[in-house]
This record gives sequence, C-alpha cells and structure tokens, in this order.
Amino acid sequence: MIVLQNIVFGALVGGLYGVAAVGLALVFGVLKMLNVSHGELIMLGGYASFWLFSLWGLDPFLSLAASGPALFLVGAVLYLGLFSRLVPLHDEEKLKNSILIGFGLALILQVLAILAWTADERAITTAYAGQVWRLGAVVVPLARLAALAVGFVALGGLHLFLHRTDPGRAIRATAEDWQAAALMGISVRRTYLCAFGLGSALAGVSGTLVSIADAVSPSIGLSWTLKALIVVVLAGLGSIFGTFVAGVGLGIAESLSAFFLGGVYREVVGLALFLIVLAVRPSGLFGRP
Amino acid sequence: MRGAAAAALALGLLAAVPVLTGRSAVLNWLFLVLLHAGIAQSWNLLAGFGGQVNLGHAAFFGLGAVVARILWLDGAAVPWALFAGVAAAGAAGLLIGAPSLRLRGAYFAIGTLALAEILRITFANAMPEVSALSAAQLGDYALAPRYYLALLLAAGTTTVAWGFSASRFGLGLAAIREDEDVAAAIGIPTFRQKLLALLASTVFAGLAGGVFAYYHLSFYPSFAFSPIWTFDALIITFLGGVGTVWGPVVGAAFFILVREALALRLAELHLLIFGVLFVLVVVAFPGGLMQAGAALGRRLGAPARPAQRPQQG
Amino acid sequence: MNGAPVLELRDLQVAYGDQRVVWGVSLEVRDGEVVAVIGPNGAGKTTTLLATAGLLRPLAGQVTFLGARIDGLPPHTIVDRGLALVPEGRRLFGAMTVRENLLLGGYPARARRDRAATLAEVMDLFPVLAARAHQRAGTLSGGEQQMLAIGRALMARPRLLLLDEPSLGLAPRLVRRVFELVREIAARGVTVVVVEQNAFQALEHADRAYVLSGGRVAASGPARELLARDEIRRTYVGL
Ligand SMILES: Nc1ncnc2c1ncn2[C@@H]1O[C@H](COP(=O)(O)OP(=O)(O)OP(=O)(O)O)[C@@H](O)[C@H]1O
Ligand SMILES: [Mg+2]
Repeated sequence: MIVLQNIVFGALVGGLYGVAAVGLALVFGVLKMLNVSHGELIMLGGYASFWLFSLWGLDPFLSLAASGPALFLVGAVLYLGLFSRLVPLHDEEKLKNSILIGFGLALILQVLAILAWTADERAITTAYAGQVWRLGAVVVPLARLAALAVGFVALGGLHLFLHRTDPGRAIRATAEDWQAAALMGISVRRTYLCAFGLGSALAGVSGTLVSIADAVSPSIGLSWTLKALIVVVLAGLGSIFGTFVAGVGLGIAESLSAFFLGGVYREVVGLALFLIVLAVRPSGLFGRP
Repeated sequence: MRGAAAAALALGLLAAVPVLTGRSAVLNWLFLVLLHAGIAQSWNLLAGFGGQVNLGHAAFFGLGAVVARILWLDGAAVPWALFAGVAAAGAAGLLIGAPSLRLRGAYFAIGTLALAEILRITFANAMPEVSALSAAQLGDYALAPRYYLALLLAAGTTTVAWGFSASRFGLGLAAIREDEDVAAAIGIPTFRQKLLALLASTVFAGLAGGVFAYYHLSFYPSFAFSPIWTFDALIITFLGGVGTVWGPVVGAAFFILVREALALRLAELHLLIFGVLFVLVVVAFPGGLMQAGAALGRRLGAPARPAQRPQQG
Repeated sequence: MNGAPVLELRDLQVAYGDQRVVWGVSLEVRDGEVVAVIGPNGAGKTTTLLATAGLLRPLAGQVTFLGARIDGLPPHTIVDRGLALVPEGRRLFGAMTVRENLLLGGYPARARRDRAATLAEVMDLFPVLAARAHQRAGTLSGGEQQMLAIGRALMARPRLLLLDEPSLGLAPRLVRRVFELVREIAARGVTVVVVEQNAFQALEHADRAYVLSGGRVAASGPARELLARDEIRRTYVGL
C-alpha cells in the first residue's frame, strides 16, 4: 500500500513535470532553440499566483487566467528582445547561443526575484489545501489532483489548438520545415513569436500549478528546467500526450527510487534515465547521431 | 616569444607577492582572481576552444572540492587529497561525456546540467552539515600555500590553453567548433578530441575545487555544486574573450574587482550586472568575442549575407 | 503567346555566403505561358527559383511580379501576391495529413476566403488525394507526394506556379502524367515555370525555354526551336 501511495504522489508531481516539459518542447520543436530559463518562467508564474492570492485573496486556480497570459507577454518580450536575434544563425550555433542566453537569463531572473521578493519560500494555503480523498489506504490530496487535472486540460487545449486551427497548423508546419512553411504564406517570425509566447504561457500555467501543489522560491527554476529537459529527452518531440506520460513516469520513478533507495537518491534516477536513453536510443530529438 | 617572456615575468612577479607583502587582504584578493581564472580557463578549454557548451561545470568543481575536503580532513596528505578530487572530477566528466559527446545537439549541455544539479541536491541531502576546519587545522592555517596552489592552477590551465591555441590538437578543436561535419570529413577524430578536451577541462575544474576546499575555513558541501560556479566560469570567459588564451585571466581580474567592490553594498547586485553583461555579449556577438572583431569589419565593409539561409533536404 | 509579363528577372545574382552561384540571370514569363528552365546539375536553377520566391535574398538584380518589385520581400508575402513554388524535393509536411497539407497551402489570406471551394477543386484534379485525405503525407508514394506538392501549391490560387524538378524520382509513366498536369494547370489560366533535368519532356511540353549553365542563361527561345538545335540536343537533352 505504501508503494501505491508513493506511486500516487510521484504521479501527481510528475504530471507537473509533463506540463513543464511540453512548454519547453514546444519552443524547441518550433524554433530549434532551447530555453534553459524555462524553469525561471515557471517560478515567475508561481509568484504571480502567490501574490494574487496573498494580496487579493484570488484563488490560485482562478489566477491561471492571469499567469498564463502574463507569461505569454514575458515570453514575447524575451523573444523579441533576445532570442529573435538568433534566428538567422546556423542550426548548431543557434542552439548553442540560445542555451547560453537562457542560462544568463536564468541568473538574471533569479536575482531579480530575490531582490523583489527575498529568497524566502512561499506557499499558498487555501481553505481546501488539506483536503484529501481516501482510496482505501491511499491518500490523494485533492488540490494536487485538481492541479494535475487542470494541467492535463491545458495540454488538451493546446492539442486542439495545434491540430484544429490555422495558427496551430502553422506552428506545426513551421516546426517540421520552416522554409516550406514560409512558402505556404506563413510568417515564420510571427509563428516563432507565437510559439515562444505559448511555451512561456505554459510555463506560467505550470508555475501556478506548482504554487498550488508545492512552494515557490527564486531558486526553484533550475530544477524545473532540468525535470522538463529530462522528460523531453525521454519522450522525444513526438506528441503532447507522450510528453505528459513521460513526466508522470519520471515522477513515479523518482518517488519509487526515493522509497526503495532512500530519499537522498531521489534525484539520481533522472540522471540515470538520461544516460540510459543516450545509450539505448542515441539519436533523434535533440540532435543528430 | 615576447608573449612567453611577458608571461614568465608576470608569473615571477605573482610568485614573489607573498614574499613582498604580508598583507592578507592583497593575497586573498589575488587568490580569488587566480582561483576564478582557473575555473573560467578550465571551462574555456572545452567550450571556448572546442565549442561544446558545458552547463554543469559546478559538478566537476564540486566533486574536486568535496572529495579533496573529505580526504584532507580525514588526515590524507594534501597532494593526495587534491589528486583524488581531480580523479573524481575527471571520471565524472567521462561518465557524462562518453555517451553525450558522441551525439550532436544539446545532449552534452543537458547532461552536464543534470549532473551538476543532481549532485547539488544529492549532496545537500547526504551531507547537510557545514564542513569546518578543526581547531588544530585552524592553528596551522597559512595563506601562502593556498595562494601558490591557486597560482599553479591558473598557470597550469593557461599553459594548457596556450598549448591548445598553438597545436595541431587545438587546430582540430577549432575545426570542430566551426563545423563538426567538415572536421570529421577532413579526418579529425572528433569524438576523441572532444573527450580529451573535456578530460582536461574537468580535471582542472576538479583541481580548482580542491584549491577552494583547501582554502575555505568552512562551507556547505552542496555549495561547491552551486550553479553559481558555472555562471562565474561562463561570465568571466565571455567577458574576457571566449576561446582566447588570456581572456579568462583578464576576465577574472575584472570580475573579482567589480564583485568585491559591490559586495559591500548588495551581494546580488554584481550577479545582476554580470548576468546582463553576459547576455548582451552573447546576443551582440553570437559567434563569440573572438569573432566580434571580424563581425565589426563585416558590418563596416562587405556586402550583406542572405538574411535567411536555405537548407536543402 | 503575347500576354502581359507576369514575371521578370533582371540581371539576378545570388550567393550562398561568399560563394556566388547565379551570375546575372534575366528572363521573362508572360501570362498563360509554360516556360521550361533546363540545365545541368549545379547550374543554379533551384537557386534562381528560391531567390524568386523570397527564400534567398538576391545579391543584386530585380525580380518583378505582376508589375511590382518583389525582390527582398519575405517569402510569405510573395505567396500572398500569387506566386507559388513547389520546391525541389517536394518538402511536404510528412507528419501531417494530406488534408492538413492542402489546408496549409491555402493559408495565404487571399486564398483562405475560398479555401473550401479550392480544396474541392484540387481534390477533383487529384482524386488520389481525396482518397488519402486523412493519411499522413509521409506515407504516400513518390507519385502521390508529387501530386500533393502540386495540389498544395495550387491551394494558394497562384497566378504563377514555379515547379522545381517535378519529375524527380518518378517512374516514366508518372513523369508523363506530371507534364500533362502542367498543361492542364496552364489551361486553367495559371502561368507555369518548370525547372527540369528531364530536358526532353520539358521542352516537349513548354512554350518557351531557357537554358541555364554556370549560373548564366546560355540559350533561350521557343521550346521547339531549342529542341531542334543540335548543340542543345547533344549537351542538355542527351539525344
Ligand atoms: N545551401 C547551399 N550552400 C552553398 N552552396 C549551395 C547551396 N545550395 C546549392 N549550392 C551550390 O550552388 C550551385 C547551384 O546549385 P542549384 O541547386 O541552384 O543548382 P541546380 O541547377 O538546381 O542543380 P540540380 O539540377 O542539381 O538541382 C551548386 O554549385 C551548388 O553546389
Ligand atoms: Mg535544383
């Protein structure tokens, strides 16, 4: 039973890894740029919800309507100001420089968050925070379950957008072959902007969900980026649903390894999975063999 | 050979500093510059010369620091403790590099980032207590040997960087940095070269960690894995000149100067300033500072290149 | 064939980085014509088309389409004006369905208004695409892929269609089918430029032709005349 409980907790956290990873993968898939400050955007989304709750008592689930759009704007500004400069570069140089810019940006955003809000950890305690759902001996925290469900719905919405609308199809076409997309009358740069904004908005949504399920502090960014990266390496860039499942899988793997090997080694499983993927499937997603 | 003579002179002067002055403020300051020059230069060996972005330099620094610290505090002789730290860092480098440097793209950057962050959290869990020197060790503490060790580190990494800049091996690395397909096509063993450069880079990062561990009176083991070390290495290298022999040294002096001047006011401020500077440098000169001069020339003269590059296939 | 000029290239020069590969190509295409561009490997045919469609920025020279300069414009605005390119190698969106590829072809604002009607027309012209509408483009056969590439370009309701080696890699029966299609499309009022290695078929079906060699126009004239010239037959047609 305790194993089952661990699986439940792992899955709840892992779903958030999945949502975080989809945003990162969207940007990478379309722009061929890796934004390693994705986790810091998640952190900003978390703070947005925290302050909306603390100052005005806004329920974090409602503040999704603010954190998503707000981070879309942040992403748009970052793209226009920084990442768009890399568009004319060769693939490899573009990727490398996007990683460097993201790394610098991560530092900047983290320091700004410390200066603005101190390094303290912040958590949202809603009235329903402690409520659980009992399934026999297994306990499911309701707020976390709801956060996971909301994340899943957000991904479903993204899926519909990408498959059923013209701008969505333009994004997928650009991801597959930007030159062919341009020949279809698609403005590649506008599509890049849109994809970067959407990926950042997803980071904002993830941030709100993190603030519900966990706590935020200026330094959480890097570890969220890392989870998202590992999930993307595990899942590839194939499908949104696959990425979500890989996130849940990583969460469960972490939770079980913490249970069986001891909490100290909780994180090591991510590194091990990464190395195994490189050994077993050494091509595809992030580069050429 | 004028350059070599100037370098030898500088080295001689730096070696004489502990004899010339007893002021620990000066020695401490120079120690920090030399340590950071070593950290940055070791990052530069792989990233600057070979073009492989290592986002987890802190992992190798941290392993060198923690392993050397544990052995040293356990009574091992300092050289052995340092050597063990260096070996641990090099082994970790191979562990990540062997699978990920075979591939192109972002795998290496992700792998190194993962290694550093996972080691940081794991060490924070496994060794939560601060590592402090005993009273006896505090009584024995002298600054000069630490200083000389840092000087050895900076001189050693810079000598290797100079070797990279002036050798066939370094030429091969430069070819890999510019275009790996072309490098492979003209017969350069790209994987082996990248791995060797990584080994040099991580071994020196481990030594830098050992020097740090030997220098500090007390630190949390997880702090040695903080991403701050990687940030410092990147910022210093980019500000001084990525892929150059002296860039990291000059960058380190500038970095420590500004950092120590600002530290009194607001600890985070220097990070903000350097973070912004770093991003601006990367955006303004996406080919690295080495190409900045060439880029300037192009902007002034030659015709514009196609705005969009076609890719066939 | 004395329609109004649709496309005019004047002294077009194009380079990849520092390497110039098109050295001053001038050509003219008039309304309703089928113009063939032939020439050996590496002659600069694809490069010329890419620069015309806006995917490469010309080093020098002018591109005039329907009386307006389009050189230097981004490709998506050029399509919107009615110039569609079927690129070399087809460049389909292989992970997307046939129908999605066609819808994307009708993405330009000008074409989107009547997209449903155009889609029906294109499906009419290529019944095989209607049958495979919900299949991934990447799973089609070579011939079907070429039909889809052409159909996708027609979805933009172009005034001018540029085809880059449409017969590449197709069986002889399909090659003939492609050239019949070219005539059919022209008959519907779309001006066509077709770049071909398969010079004989191209000259057979075109009104006029240009021979490109080493990045320059080596010869031009009515297709029949070029086909009759000995040195052209020997060098480019292989007869
Ligand atoms: N992306 C590129 N970068 C550099 N040079 C290129 C590139 N694409 C083509 N070239 C060169 O430009 C020249 C012209 O190429 P282009 O593709 O236009 O010829 P083509 O006439 O279409 O030939 P083919 O019949 O083989 O398709 C060739 O020498 C080719 O090597
Ligand atoms: Mg061609």
